[in-house]
Amino acid sequence: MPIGYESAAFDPKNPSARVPCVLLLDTSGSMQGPPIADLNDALRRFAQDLSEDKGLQLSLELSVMTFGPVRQLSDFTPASAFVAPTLTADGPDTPMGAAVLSALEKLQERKNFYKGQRVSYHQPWLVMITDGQPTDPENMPSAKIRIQDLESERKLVFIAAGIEGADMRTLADLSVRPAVSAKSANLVKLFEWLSKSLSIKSQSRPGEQSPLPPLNMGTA
Amino acid sequence: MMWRVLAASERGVSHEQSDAPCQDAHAWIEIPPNTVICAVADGLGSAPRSEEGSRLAADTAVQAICAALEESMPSSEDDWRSLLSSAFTRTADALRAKAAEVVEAVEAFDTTLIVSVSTSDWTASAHVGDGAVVIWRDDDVVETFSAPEHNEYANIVTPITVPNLMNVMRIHVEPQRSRGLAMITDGLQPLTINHATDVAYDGFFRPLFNDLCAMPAAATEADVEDLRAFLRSSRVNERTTDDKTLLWAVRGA
Repeated sequence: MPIGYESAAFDPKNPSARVPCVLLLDTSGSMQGPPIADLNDALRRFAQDLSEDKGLQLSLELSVMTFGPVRQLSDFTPASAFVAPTLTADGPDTPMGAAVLSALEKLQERKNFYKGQRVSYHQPWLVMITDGQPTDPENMPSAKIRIQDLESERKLVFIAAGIEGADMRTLADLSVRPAVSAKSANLVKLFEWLSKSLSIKSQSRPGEQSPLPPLNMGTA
Repeated sequence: MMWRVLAASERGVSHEQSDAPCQDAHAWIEIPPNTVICAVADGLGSAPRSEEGSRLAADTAVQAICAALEESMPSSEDDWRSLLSSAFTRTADALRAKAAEVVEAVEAFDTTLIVSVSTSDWTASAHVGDGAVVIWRDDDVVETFSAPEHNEYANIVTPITVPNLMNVMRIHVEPQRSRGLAMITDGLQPLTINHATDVAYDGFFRPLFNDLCAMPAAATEADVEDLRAFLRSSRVNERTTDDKTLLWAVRGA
């Protein structure tokens, strides 16, 4: 008599490990016109990709935040339920430092939530897309220190992408990884790379991290 | 042969997509009349030669324990602990020697390792990293014998080649025989071991123990093929994208 695999049941109460990710998007006035339209388009394509990606649907949870002012547009939602927002670029300023600090706080809250629920999780991701320079320089040093501390402890992946007109030197300074310099029309590529990178769950020894795939959009 | 053993390691969907090999491995040896030694190992995805590491680790550990048992059967818990510790040390040394031979960092071969030994009087396991051992006791209880390692992040796992191996390896020894043992790598954890409680899912393991026990003879190639097909099935792949190994052993009637 063969083994009856069809009668072997799986634990229904075991959620798969989560990957929390904040998309931190610049909606200041300078993004008006093609940049915001391109960003909206890339977000729609990203949502479409996610709707076809079973692996990410099991794991990825997305929150969309915009600046300025700093707002959480949507709380963490499973990738399977992610709906691309249609952003308008009418913000009066670009409080980048405050936005980063607020996003890191949201990620920490989400980790605490997972801990409380005893759900396993991967390193959080913070992906920032901007075309400007910070209007809150006073917040930038603490944002930079937070990012560097978390990255060095392998507790965060921070990606800073600058599109037309972005202050790439500030982004390069803020980020431990090379800042991404992109044409807004190419943001689709950035999100394709993001889907691929978020899918990588290869295991590493403590204190190390699997390398991310190459992103061919040019670096600052 | 007293023991019925069925085992397979299959590539996960994520490794099919990236064209990576299956980095899981397993091995087992029976020492008649009563003893079976089993191992499963999961090569770390970040380690470029981890499929060699897991293969070497599983084989080396099983052979080292087999040689030690043939020399003398432990008669106390301490004996078991020292036997298993030295087998793990020898396995880590074998990985270091392999790395040195091919001029690679030992991290290139990083792998987890779980070994179980079941005799007529003892049940024992040694464990570094994630994955699990589940026991089927003589009184019919099915429960976790050695639980997965838990780290803050799901993708962080301790390999056998860490410098403080003796501090991170978990050894479990019980002075009683088991009816059966099952071992999994982490690819099957989301399906079979509760993340919050480490409880083995009875509805998964019990039917498998019973079915293997009811088989009239030792498992055949066809039985292994059936297991591989199950591990590749969409039912499994909908829940896990990682490589997965399932090995289980029961005492024949």
